[in-house]
Amino acid sequence: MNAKAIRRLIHTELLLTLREPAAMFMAVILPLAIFLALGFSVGDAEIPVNRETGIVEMFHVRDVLLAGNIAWVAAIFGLISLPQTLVEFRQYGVFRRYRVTPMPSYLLIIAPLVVGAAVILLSLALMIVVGWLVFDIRFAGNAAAVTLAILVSYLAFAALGAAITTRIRNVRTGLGLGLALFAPMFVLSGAFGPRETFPAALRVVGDWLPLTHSYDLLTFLWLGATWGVETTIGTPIWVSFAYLGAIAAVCVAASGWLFRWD
Amino acid sequence: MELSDALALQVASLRKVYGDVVAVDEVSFEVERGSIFSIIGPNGAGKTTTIECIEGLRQPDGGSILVAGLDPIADRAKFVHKIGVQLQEVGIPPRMKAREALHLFAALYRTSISLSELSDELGLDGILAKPYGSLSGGQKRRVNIALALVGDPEILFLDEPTAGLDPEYRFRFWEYLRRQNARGMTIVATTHYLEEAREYCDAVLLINEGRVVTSGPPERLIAESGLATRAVLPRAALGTVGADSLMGLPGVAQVRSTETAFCLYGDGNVAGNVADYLSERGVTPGIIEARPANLDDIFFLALGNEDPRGGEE
Repeated sequence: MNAKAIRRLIHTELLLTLREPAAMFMAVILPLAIFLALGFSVGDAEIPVNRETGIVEMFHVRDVLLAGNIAWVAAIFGLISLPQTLVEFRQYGVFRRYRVTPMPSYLLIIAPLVVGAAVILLSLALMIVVGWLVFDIRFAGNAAAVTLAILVSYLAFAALGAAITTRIRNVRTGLGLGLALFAPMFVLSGAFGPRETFPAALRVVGDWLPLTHSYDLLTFLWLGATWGVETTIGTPIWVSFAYLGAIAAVCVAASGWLFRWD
Repeated sequence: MELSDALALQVASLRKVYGDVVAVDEVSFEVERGSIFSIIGPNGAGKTTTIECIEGLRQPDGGSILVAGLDPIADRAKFVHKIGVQLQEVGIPPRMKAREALHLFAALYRTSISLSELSDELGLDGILAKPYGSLSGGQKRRVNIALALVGDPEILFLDEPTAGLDPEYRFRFWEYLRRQNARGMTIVATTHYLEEAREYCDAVLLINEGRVVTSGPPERLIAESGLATRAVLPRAALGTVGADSLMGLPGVAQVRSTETAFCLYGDGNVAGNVADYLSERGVTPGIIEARPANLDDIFFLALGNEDPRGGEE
């Protein structure tokens, strides 16, 4: 497979994604709008954050909103958009059509995965620019660590979404499943409201959801916390990172086993 | 199995089973390089299963297939560079524009036919900028054909390529294929349209219920059938003469009855012999239409079906 063909495939996939108004709204417009709305509403409110174990520092609430937003954008792309693309390929015989061309089938999964990652990072970049211009937000973390955490989160969501929809041949059913996965995660992760106010049982459920781990992981890394700091889940940051990595590995293996091209 | 250099395709004892249904049973045939070959047969005959086994999309349950000397599944990496395929189903995301699909497919191959040539020949102008999902059935078919051709394949496989195309595009399509064939492209197509097979194909394979009924060049099939002439005798023209006696007349090899007429097939002056026979019995038959038999006749007779056209054409 030549580089020109791979470039063309990713280019085409990007065009298809940009042409999907619902996906672009959810990935770019909505997180930005929520970021702005919440940013104005919290004003200069501050929260204490453990940057290192035992060391508490005060941060503006608006500084961490952006990191939490990007966690659920990754979840939307991983749990809803990517699986929908794969289900669409199955429904319309796209996988089958490419089997009689020189295109290796796995590239049809890699291309939308790469495009999804690009759109997530684009959404992040947009929020950073707007956040910097409007709120003068502070970034205290390590850019590489945050980027890696975003990608691992996205991979975990994408693998989970692909595994759940691996036998689905209808786009609507795939969308329904994706939403059914995303909505409770969104509510229980703390992205929707502070987890401290939840009943204990719901907090426990939330502790096991990948979006909760992604949310905490990105928020703490954004603020420059070290890997050993305990998050709201009660485990160190590195546990959340490893947990998301494990979900990605298990779901990739399950998808590989269960995946149906037709 | 060794493939002669002169052969583009060799299928031996192909068998494909779905549950209890034998879709393709002991099908064997060969396609010469540089020829246009067509697989014909009624709905459910096994045409699509046969061509999809050859394309490597279905795993046969028995037999062997060699395409340009390659096994479609074991040698897939080389095989896919030699073939172009048009499937009956969609295969393109609805939001993808036809132009994007063609650019993408062109990038997959070492050589390609230009988009402008395909657009001119297949009438894609005005379609290219539209999302695939918004196209009509005939427009989608033309895009699918272009996608099969864009890699300038050595061997082109088409499954019902002209279904849904209007007569003008069917003609343009076949004329373009004929020119590609003259450049050396081997073409294997399934079709329902027997007149296309007769007009454009060097050889045909007739299959029914998964088995080969007959195969060869259309003209040879007609000649070998011993049914070179077809005459239509309206039922009313028989008068009091029994229909059973028609079968025994000189030159008459087969008689098919329809609601309004008898179709007589045979060699020689079938119509004249029937007219003489009836005249001798005091019946004036009126006009008995006769013409040389064609592939359609061979098709219906070989399948043992009644000719749905009756005496009319």
